[in-house]
Amino acid sequence: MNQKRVLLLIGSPRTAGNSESLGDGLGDNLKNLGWTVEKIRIPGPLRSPAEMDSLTSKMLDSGLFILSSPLYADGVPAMVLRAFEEIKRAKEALPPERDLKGVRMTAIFNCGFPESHHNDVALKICRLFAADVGFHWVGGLGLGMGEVLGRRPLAEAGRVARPVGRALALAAEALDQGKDIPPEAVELMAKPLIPRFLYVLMGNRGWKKQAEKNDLTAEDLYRRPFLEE
Amino acid sequence: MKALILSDGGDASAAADLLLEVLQKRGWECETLRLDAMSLRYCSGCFGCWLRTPGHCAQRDELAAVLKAEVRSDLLACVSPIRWGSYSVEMKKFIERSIPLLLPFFETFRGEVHHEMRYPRRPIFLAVGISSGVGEDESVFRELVARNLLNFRSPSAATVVLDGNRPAEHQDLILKGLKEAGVEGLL
Repeated sequence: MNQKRVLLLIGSPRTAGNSESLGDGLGDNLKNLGWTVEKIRIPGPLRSPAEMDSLTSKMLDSGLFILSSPLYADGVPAMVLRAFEEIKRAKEALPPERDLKGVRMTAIFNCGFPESHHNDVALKICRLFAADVGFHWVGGLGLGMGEVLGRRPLAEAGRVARPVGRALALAAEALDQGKDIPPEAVELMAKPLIPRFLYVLMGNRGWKKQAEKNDLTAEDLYRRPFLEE
Repeated sequence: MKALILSDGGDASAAADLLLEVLQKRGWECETLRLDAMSLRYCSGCFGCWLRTPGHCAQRDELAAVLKAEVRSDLLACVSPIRWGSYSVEMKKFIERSIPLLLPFFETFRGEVHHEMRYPRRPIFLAVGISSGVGEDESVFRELVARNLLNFRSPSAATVVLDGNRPAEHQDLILKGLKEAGVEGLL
C-alpha cells in the first residue's frame, strides 16, 4: 500500500461536472504536497468487469480513497452503491490477515439545493460503508448550491468559489498530515456561495431559459404525461 | 384503492408478499413489481425529464410504466434490503429515476428549498427496509427515507425496518407500519 497514493472516484455520470471540479480541487492540492492521484469516473467500472476489477485493486492499494459525487435523491448515487458492493466483494476475497485500516476514506458531496445539510445522509452512508469494509473514515465535506460552480475547474469559477478552494486546501493539508478533515474545512464548504433568495431566483429563471433552448415554453415544463395518456 | 408494491428480490420480495396478502385481504387492488427482474438503467443526471421531455425520462425503458402506475396509486410501498443505511442498488435506481414526478422549479417547504411537485396528489408512502441488524444501518435508513419524503411529499408515510434474521415478526411490523401510514382498512 502506498500511503501517498490517492484513488479519486468521481461519482457522477457526467464528464467535467461539478463533482469532478471538486475532486480535482482536492486532488491538485494533494499533488502539490507530493501525492500521486489517479482519477476514475464511475461509468467506466460499471461498463466492464475488467474496469471494475481495476478500480477495486487500485483502491485497496491506495493510502487514501476520495469519493467526489453529486447527491442523488438524498443519498449516494446507485452507480456508486454498485461500486461499493464490488469493493466489499474484493475486500472479502483478500486474505483474512489483510487489514485495510491503513486505507483512509473521505467524500465530497455536492447538491443543487442551497442548503449544504441535504448532503449529511449521503456522508453517513459513506461512513457506514467505510466501517464495513475496514477503511478508516476521516470525515467528509458537503456543498450546497453546487450549480454556482458552473461545471468548470474551480480556478475558473471566480471569487464565488474561494471558500470552496480554501476548504479543499485545508482538507488536503490535514490529510497530508494524517489527520481527519478539520471542522474549519467542513464549515467553509457548507457556507452558502450566494444568498439563498438569489440562488432560487436565478435557478427558477435558468430552468425556463434552458427550456427555451430546447424549443419548449415555460408552460411545457408543467406537463403531466401520466395523467394525460 | 390501488397499491403499487416494489421489491428487490430475496427477503425483500418475501416481505412484499406479506404486504400484498395483508392489503388484498382488506380489498386493495395491488400491483407488485420486482426490480431485480427488470433492467432499469441508472439515472444519467441529464435533466431531460425536466427540460427536454417534461415528465418523461429521456431514457426509454420499463421506468415509464412504473411511474405511471405510481401516479395512479393510492399507496406506494418500496421494500428493499438496507445496505450501509441506504436502499439497495436497484431500489435506489428507481428512487433516483422518480425525478420526472417533480418539477425543476424551487419552492420552500418546511424551511428548506425543494422542488415543486408535478402532480397534484401523491400516494401514501411505505418504506420497508430489511436490516441485517448492523449498527447504525436502521437509523441512517430512517433518515434517508425522511429526506426522500421532503422531496417526494406523500400525504402520509411510515418507515418499517424488519430484522432479516427474525422473519416471524415481519407481518406484525408491516401491519403496524400500514396503520401508522394511515392506510384505509387498517385504521
